[in-house]
Amino acid sequence: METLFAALGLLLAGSIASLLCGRRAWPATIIGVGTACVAGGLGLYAAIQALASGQTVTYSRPWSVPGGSLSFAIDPLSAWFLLPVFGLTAIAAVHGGAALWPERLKYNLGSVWACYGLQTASMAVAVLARNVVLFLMAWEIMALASYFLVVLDDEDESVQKAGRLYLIAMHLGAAFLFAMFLLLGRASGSLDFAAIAAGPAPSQRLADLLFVLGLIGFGTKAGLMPMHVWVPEAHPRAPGFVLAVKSCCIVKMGVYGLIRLLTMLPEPQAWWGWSLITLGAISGLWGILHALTQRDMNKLLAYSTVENVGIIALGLGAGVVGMAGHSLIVAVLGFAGALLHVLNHSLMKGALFLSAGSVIRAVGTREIDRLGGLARRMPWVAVSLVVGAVAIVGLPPLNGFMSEFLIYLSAFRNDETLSTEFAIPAVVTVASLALIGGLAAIAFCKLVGITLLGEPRSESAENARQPSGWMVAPPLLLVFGCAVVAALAPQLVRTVAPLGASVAHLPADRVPVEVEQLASLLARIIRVAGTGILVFLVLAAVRWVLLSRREIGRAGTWDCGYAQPTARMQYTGSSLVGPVVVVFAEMLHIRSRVEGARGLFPAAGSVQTDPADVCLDDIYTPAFGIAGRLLKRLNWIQQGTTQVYVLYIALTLVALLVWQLGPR
Amino acid sequence: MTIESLLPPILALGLSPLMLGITNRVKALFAGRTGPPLLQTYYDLARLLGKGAVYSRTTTVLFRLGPMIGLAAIVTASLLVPFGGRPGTMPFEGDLILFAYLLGLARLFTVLAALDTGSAFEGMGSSRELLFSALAEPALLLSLVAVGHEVGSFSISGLHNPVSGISWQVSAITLVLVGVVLFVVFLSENSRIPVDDPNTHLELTMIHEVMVLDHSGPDFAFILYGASVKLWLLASLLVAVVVPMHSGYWAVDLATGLLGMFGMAVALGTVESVMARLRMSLVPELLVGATVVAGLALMIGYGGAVR
Repeated sequence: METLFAALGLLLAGSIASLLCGRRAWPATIIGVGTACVAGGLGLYAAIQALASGQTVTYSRPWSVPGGSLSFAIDPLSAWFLLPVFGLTAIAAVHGGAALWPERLKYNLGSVWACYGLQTASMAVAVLARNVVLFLMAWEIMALASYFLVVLDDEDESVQKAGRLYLIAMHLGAAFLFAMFLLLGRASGSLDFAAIAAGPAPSQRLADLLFVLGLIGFGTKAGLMPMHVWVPEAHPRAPGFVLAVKSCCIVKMGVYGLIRLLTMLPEPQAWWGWSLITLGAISGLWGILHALTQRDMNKLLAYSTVENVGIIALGLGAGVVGMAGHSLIVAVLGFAGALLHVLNHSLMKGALFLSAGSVIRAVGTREIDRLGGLARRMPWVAVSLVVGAVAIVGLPPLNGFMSEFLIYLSAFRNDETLSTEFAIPAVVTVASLALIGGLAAIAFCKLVGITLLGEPRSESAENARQPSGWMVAPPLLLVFGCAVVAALAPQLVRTVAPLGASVAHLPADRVPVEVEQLASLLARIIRVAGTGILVFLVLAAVRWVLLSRREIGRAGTWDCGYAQPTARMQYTGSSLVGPVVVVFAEMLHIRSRVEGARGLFPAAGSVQTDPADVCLDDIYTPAFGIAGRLLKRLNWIQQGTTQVYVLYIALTLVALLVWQLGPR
Repeated sequence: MTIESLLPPILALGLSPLMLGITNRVKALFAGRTGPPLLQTYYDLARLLGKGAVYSRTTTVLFRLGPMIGLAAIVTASLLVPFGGRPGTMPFEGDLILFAYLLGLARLFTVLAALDTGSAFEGMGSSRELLFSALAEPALLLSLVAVGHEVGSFSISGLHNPVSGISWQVSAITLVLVGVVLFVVFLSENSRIPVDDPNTHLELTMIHEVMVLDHSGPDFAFILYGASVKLWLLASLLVAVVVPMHSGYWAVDLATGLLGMFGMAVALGTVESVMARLRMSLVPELLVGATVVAGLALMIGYGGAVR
C-alpha cells in the first residue's frame, strides 16, 4: 500500500510541477514522462506483489466529507486492473513525449503532462477506492482530465464538438452511477464498499434495478453498444498516446466498475448474464462492422475497442450465467476469460494505437486510403502494427487467442454443466465470437494491408521516414508483451481463475482442480503453437537451402499485360471491404454523394462515401434534438446573474425546510 | 506422443496431393478426357521446388513469409485431426477452436502477402476470400459444436471417439445437417465450385488463385502443398464426423478412413463437373444458409436433451 501511495504522490507532484513549467517544453516533458515511468514502475511492482500474494491490504482514515471516508484497499481484482493503468500509461508516456516534441511551440506541454499525470492518478484511485464518495470523485477527475487531453487541438471545431460529446456521455453515464450508488447506500446504510457488501442484501427488485443502472453507467464508460458513441467520436484528432490510454485504461475502468458492482450485489439472476451477452454480441458484431468501414485509422481502432469490450462482456455474461446456474467452472471460465482479455486488449490495442500514432505523425494524414508502401519506409513500425493486428484478430500463437479460447470454452462447458435454458446464450456466444473473428480479420487486413503494403498512394506516404527510437520502441515493447502473455498463459490463468471465483462469491479454495485442468489445456495450446513455430523454422531452412544457390529475379508485379499501372489503380481499403458492406448493408449507414458524370457528354464526376454511426445518427441526434427543443422552454430559468442563482439556492433551502419540518 | 499417434498427420502430408489427382481424374472422366496422371500434383511440387524465384519490386519480407507461415499453420492443424479411428496427434478439449483459428492464421498471411504486391487483382481476390471465410467460420464452428453436444466432447478427436462416439441410430438428423454444412464449408474453404473455380483462367473471376499469382518457385510449391493438405484435413473432418464407424481392428478402421477420403475426392470431382459456379453475390447467401442449418442442428440437439 505504501508503494502505491508513493506512486500516487509522485504522480500528483509531477502534475503540479509540470503545470508550473508551463510552456517550457524541456522540463515539462522530462517531469511528465519521468514521473509516469517511475510511478508506473512502483505501481506495477505493488500490483504484481498483490497478485502474487493474493492478500487484501486495506487502509482507512476518516474524512470530513459527508458520507466519505479515505478507504483504500488493494486486492487481486484491483491489482489486475492496476497493471494496464500503471504499465500502459508509463509506456505510452514515452511515445507521447517524443510525439509531442515537434509540436512543443503549438501546445502548452506543461498542462498536457499535468492532465496526463492527474488522469493516471485518478484511475489508480478509482481502482483502489473503497468508498462511494472517494470513488465518484476520482471518477469525475478522470473524466475531466481526459477531456482536456481529448481537446488538445481545441482550435478545431470538430475537436470541440467531439469533446462536448465526450463530456456529455461521461456525465450521463455518471448520473446513472450516482443514482445507483445512492440507492445502494440507502439500502445498506453506509457508503463504504465493505459495509455495502456485508450489509443487508437489497430486495430482488432493487438488485435488478441496481444492476441495470450500473450496466448503463459503467457500460457507457466501457463503450458498450449502444452507449459507445463517445469512443469513436472523441478520438480521431488526439495524439496516439492519449488514445492508447483512453482505449486501454479508461474504457477498462467501466469493466472494472461492472465487476466490482457484481461483488457487492447479491446472487445474480440469469437474465443479467443474458443481457450482458446480448450487449456483448451487439457491441462485438456491430463494433467490428463499423470498424471495417472506417477510412480513418484512429476511428477504425476505436470501433475495434468497442468490439473487444463486447468480447469482454461476452465473458462476463458467461460468468454471471454460471453464477446464476451454480456452475463453478462456467463462472470461473467466463470471468477469467474476460479478465485475461482486459489485459490482452490493453497490450495489443496500446501497440496498435501507438504504431498508428507514429504513422500519422510521419505522414500527416489519418486516411488509410491515402497511404501504402510504409512497410519499406518504416519497417519497425510495421512490425509492431502487423504483430499487434495478428494478436487482436485473436489468432494463435499470440495472446488474443488465449483469452478468446477461455470464453469459447465457457460456452462449451455451459453445455455440459447447465440445463438447456442456459444453452441459448452459449450458442450466441460461439456464433458471434466466430463471426467477430472473421470480420476482425477483414478490418485489420485493411488497416495493415492498405497502409503498410503495396505502393504509396500519396506523396506524403512516398516520403515518409521512420520516426525516432523513442516512438518506435514503446509499441515494440507492447507486442513483445503480447508474446510473453501468450507464453505465460497457464501461469496467468492460475492467477486469474481464483480472481474470477472470488467475483462469483465462490471460495477460492474450491477451484484448484478446475484451474489446473485449464492451465494444462493452455499449456497444450502452447505446445501445439511451439510445434508450429518449429515447423515454420524447418520450412524457412528448406526454402533458404533451396534458394541459396539459385537465381532470384526482380520484376514488377504481374499486371495482366496492362502497360502502365499506377499506384492509384491499387485496391483501396474501401474497395477491400466493399463486398462486406454490400452483405451487411442493412446494419450499416454509409452516406454517399455522387456528383456529375450524367448525360450524353458527362463532365468530370466525383463520388464520396462516409461511414456514419447508426446509433449516433439515427437514435441520439434525433432524441437529443427533441430533448433540446423541450428544454428550451425552461430557458427563462437561466438568467445569468449571480443574485438570481443565490435566490434559487435560498428558495430550495426554504422548500427543504418546509418539507422536513412541515406537517406529515 | 508416440510414433503411432503421428499416423494421421503423416497420411495427410503424404497422401493429400494424391487426393487432388483423384479429383482431377474424376473431372476428366466426366469431360471425356484422359486427364493428367494421378501423381501430377507431386510432379508439380517437385518441379516448383527445383526452380528459382522471382519477386516483385513492390514486395517486402511479408511476401516471402506468407507461404511459409501459411504452410506451417496448416501442417500444425494436421496434428489435431483424427483419422481412421485414431485420435489426432495432440488432441485436447477445445482443439476445434485452435483448428479453425490456425486455418485463419494461414489465410491472414496469404491475404497480407497478396496485398503486398499492390496488384488490384490480388486485392480483389483478398477481398472476396476474406468475406467468404468470415461467413464460413460460424458455420464450421457451430456444426462442430452441434456434434460436440451430441458426443459430450469438444475435441475433434472426441467427435470421433469409439466409446462415446456419435451414431446414426441416435442422432441421424444432426448428422445429416452437420454433414451438409461441413460439405459446404469444405467446398468454400478450399475455393471449389460452386464458390470458386480452381481452373478459371481469368484473373477477374478468380478468388484464391488470383491471390497467389505473384508467387513462384519454392514459395508457390508451399502454397500448392498447403492447399492440398487443407483439402485433406477438411475432408477428413467430414469423414470422421459422418462415418463414425469403429470395428476395433486398426486395419479395417484405416481402410474405412481411406475409403471415405476416396469417396470425398470422387464427390468433389462430381460436384465440380456437374455444377456451375454461383454468381458471386449468391455465395454469401449459401454460407449464411449453412450457418443457419448448423444452428438448426444444434437446436435439434438441445431439443433432444429436453425431451
